[in-house]
Amino acid sequence: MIVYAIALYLVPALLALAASVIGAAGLRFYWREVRRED
Amino acid sequence: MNTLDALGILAYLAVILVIGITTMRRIKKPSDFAVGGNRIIWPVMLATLAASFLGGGASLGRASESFSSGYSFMFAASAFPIQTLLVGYFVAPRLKRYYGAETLGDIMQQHYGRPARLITGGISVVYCVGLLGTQALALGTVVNSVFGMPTWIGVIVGMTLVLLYSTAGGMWTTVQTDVVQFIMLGIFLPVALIIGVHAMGGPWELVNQLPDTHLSVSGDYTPLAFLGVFLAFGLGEMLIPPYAQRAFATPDETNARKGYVGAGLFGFFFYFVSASIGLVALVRFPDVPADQALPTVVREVLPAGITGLVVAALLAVVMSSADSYLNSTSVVFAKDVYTAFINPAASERKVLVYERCTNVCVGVGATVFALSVPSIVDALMYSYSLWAPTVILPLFLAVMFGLRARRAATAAMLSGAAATALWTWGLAEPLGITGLMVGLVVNAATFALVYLTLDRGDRLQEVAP
Repeated sequence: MIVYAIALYLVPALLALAASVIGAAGLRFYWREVRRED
Repeated sequence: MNTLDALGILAYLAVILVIGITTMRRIKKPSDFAVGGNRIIWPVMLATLAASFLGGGASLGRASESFSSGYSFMFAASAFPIQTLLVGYFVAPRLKRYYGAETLGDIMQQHYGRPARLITGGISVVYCVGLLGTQALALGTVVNSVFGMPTWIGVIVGMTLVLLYSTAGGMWTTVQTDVVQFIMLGIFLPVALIIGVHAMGGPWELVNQLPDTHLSVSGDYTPLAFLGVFLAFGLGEMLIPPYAQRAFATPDETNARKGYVGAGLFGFFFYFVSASIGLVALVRFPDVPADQALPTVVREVLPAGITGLVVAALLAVVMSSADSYLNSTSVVFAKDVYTAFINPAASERKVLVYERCTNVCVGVGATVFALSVPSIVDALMYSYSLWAPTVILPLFLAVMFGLRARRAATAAMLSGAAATALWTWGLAEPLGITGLMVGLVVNAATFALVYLTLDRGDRLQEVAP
């Protein structure tokens, strides 16, 4: 039970953080490609 | 749903459209349309793969199942992210050793000849069209349950947008929009869970109000039933065309491995988030239908402004899967059927035109089926249980051990498909044993038997694509 209770806050927080970092790297790639094309 | 929410949704749709338009001019030849010019680095690979396999089932479906039976379904379905992690570490990097390969058919032909390519291509197309149809229906479900609008509006608006950008920009646009969609689903669905748990008075309050069966690993499942779900999720979507295509699209083995493994890890935790939102719904709104669990939390619990962003995230979850299946169908059909068997001398320009035409036809067809004849989508989804018992073992043996066995592979694929179909639809899965289990055993036994008697020492050498 204690594992679920901790995970209910920790997992979404970490997932959102990971998505932000990975997404930022992905968007940087996109801008670089667009600039390269221009 | 107020103006702020509507603005959030419109902003998301506008960003997707702008990305679609700005990347479409990059498409100059079929390999750009199919594998994005092999330039997809691992964070992008991770984002696009996760966005592709996290669809309506991983969000609405997982919440609905946990509402009904607790975390047990999530644990059984976790076979999918676990296999993604393993395939990512051991198999996906090896796909990059096939220089110039764009589809699984390219690999199958190299090891097992043209019949294996045709069977793989045929099953791939049916499978992807079926999955596309389910995602089209899921778009309608999201719009219907959140806005109360008729399902057809969501299907038509969502699929038109997907069709526009995926036809124009192929893999390039699909990948870039997937990144934005990954950010949306990766941030705002977890935010919805945090807000939902907080509204319940914190995680302890939520956990204390749940029945014990909803927190156990196996729940009400018998061991055989749990194994059935575990195998279906572990093998049902293993290395299907859109996922393999993403590995082909990376520049090297390292990027393929990192992206694939990372997506598996991400998927595991995403399942937990979706399932937990279902449990928030169970405690807070115990009387709603199970399939309304996630939309009800989004509609009733989240504050103004956030609701719109979470709805946009739900649309992103579904659209990012739909565009991947659509793109894969076009690429597989053009490469494994059209240029391999109908017009091998087609110019690059003609193949690209053909891919785009297929994209439009398949997208329109799936939309029409989803709206008017959903039973056709159901029928196409029968192919879900055919993928693993036909393609997976021969593919694995080819990629991991370099096996070349034309007759063994062809016989194994056909017998695996026949056994699965007979057990599932002919005999209605007696003894609680699923058609997938039977098909896998028949597939493996046939391959071994024919290989040992006929194909040992076979040195089939076909020109790599």
